[in-house]
Amino acid sequence: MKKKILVCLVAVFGAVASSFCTGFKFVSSDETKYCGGSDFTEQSETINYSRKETTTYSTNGDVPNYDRIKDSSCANVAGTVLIGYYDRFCEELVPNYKTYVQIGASIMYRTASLEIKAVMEELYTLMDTDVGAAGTTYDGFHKGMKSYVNNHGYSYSTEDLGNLDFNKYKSAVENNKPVAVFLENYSYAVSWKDSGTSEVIKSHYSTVAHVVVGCGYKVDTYYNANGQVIATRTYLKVASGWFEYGITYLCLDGKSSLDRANAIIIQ
Amino acid sequence: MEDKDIEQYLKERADEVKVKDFSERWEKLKGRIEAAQEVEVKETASETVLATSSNGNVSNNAVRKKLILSLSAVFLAIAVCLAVVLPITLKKNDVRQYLSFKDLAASDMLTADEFYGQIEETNLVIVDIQKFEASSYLLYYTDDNEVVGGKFDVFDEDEVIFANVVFYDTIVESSFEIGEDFKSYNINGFRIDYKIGLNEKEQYKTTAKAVSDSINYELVCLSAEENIESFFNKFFG
Repeated sequence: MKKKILVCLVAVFGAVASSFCTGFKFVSSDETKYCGGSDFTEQSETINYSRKETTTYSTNGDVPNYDRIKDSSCANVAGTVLIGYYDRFCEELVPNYKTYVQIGASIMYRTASLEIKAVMEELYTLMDTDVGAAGTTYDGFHKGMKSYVNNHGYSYSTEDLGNLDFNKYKSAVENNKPVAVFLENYSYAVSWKDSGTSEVIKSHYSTVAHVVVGCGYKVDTYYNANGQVIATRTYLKVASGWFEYGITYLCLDGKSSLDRANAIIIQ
Repeated sequence: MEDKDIEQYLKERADEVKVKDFSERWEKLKGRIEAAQEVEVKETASETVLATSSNGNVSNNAVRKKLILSLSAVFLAIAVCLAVVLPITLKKNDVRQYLSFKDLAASDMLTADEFYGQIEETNLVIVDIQKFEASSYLLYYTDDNEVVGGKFDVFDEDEVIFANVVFYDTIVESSFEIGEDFKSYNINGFRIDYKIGLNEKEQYKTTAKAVSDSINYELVCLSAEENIESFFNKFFG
């Protein structure tokens, strides 16, 4: 009997040891793959009010509005948006190409080009996109970004904003640091129809995990006739990575579920 | 008997024959005449149908039944064809009318030659953008690989205006909303609705939608000057 137990233990030990030797990896079930999607359902909300206040902010020129191209995923697009943004300050990030046009003090980003396409394709490889399953992991995103940025002679660092500390987010974008936002599910606000006493907000909702880049925000505060706050709606201004939505507003207030957010610094 | 006697005999026999009243004779003949008319009609409708008579009347029930069956079969076949063909035709028309950008796929980034080459193979006629510094070309396709739109940038050195431009066939529905505070402008078959905003850097950002019978454009323009209509004249003229 003792011999049998000993043999079993040796067999188990051998199996575990060999799995480590062959590089077998235990994959956590929490490793979400962000890939974006095109299926949305429409939602609508009406808020009746007496008075409304709106606060908005956006970085100069927002961030580049790149679309997904063939053989790329939302994480690659988000990474390319960040690269395109920081190329203003770090010109070798996209060699021999200016990602923006400046008129006076204002910035406007070019639509994607062949040079931008090359960045997206390189990030696809560096981020291990679609390896094992469709999409990119959170770790894969940052690994790929760090590799790309370092390879072009710059440093890459992040500030953790949890899931999401809005005050930290505001501080980041107001200090010209775009924010990578990792979403489990999300809503984009697509229209506001405001009659002066009533506002109908239409949004499009998706359940597919996605990554976007935040560059600003909008906060609508609604008051009743007594001056009391009856509702607040907070939105992140983001590059959606999807040509239908472009630079758009991501709904908070329970309409989107955020996994993590990081302010990105490249210098 | 001599001929004279025979003649007289026949004459006396003929005088004895009683001629019935017209009404009596009509009653007897009426049935036969109507039957004969029915037989005539049926013979015209079907060459294979023969009018038969057993006691002087025509029987046409079998003929009528065959005609009804034939016509029923024809109508049923037509109804089945319509039931199959109509939904397909209507559905095709419906799908074509309600394309949105979600139904489209974007191409890879294209060179200018690739862009113009593919545009030439479509029915889309775009404005002449070679008078500007144009760049960043891509196209939008349907599931059937039909080009229905695209995107490019233009920079106007004279007006100092930079624009991101999207264009699409009129079968594509866009979510661009024209607000009450938009201005309108018409040129060269285009109705342009646009709104000018002043950003925090005191430059002008204009969003515009231009609609024509065959192609639509959406523009986002950055300019140092507020007057955008000279640029519209150049772009759409």
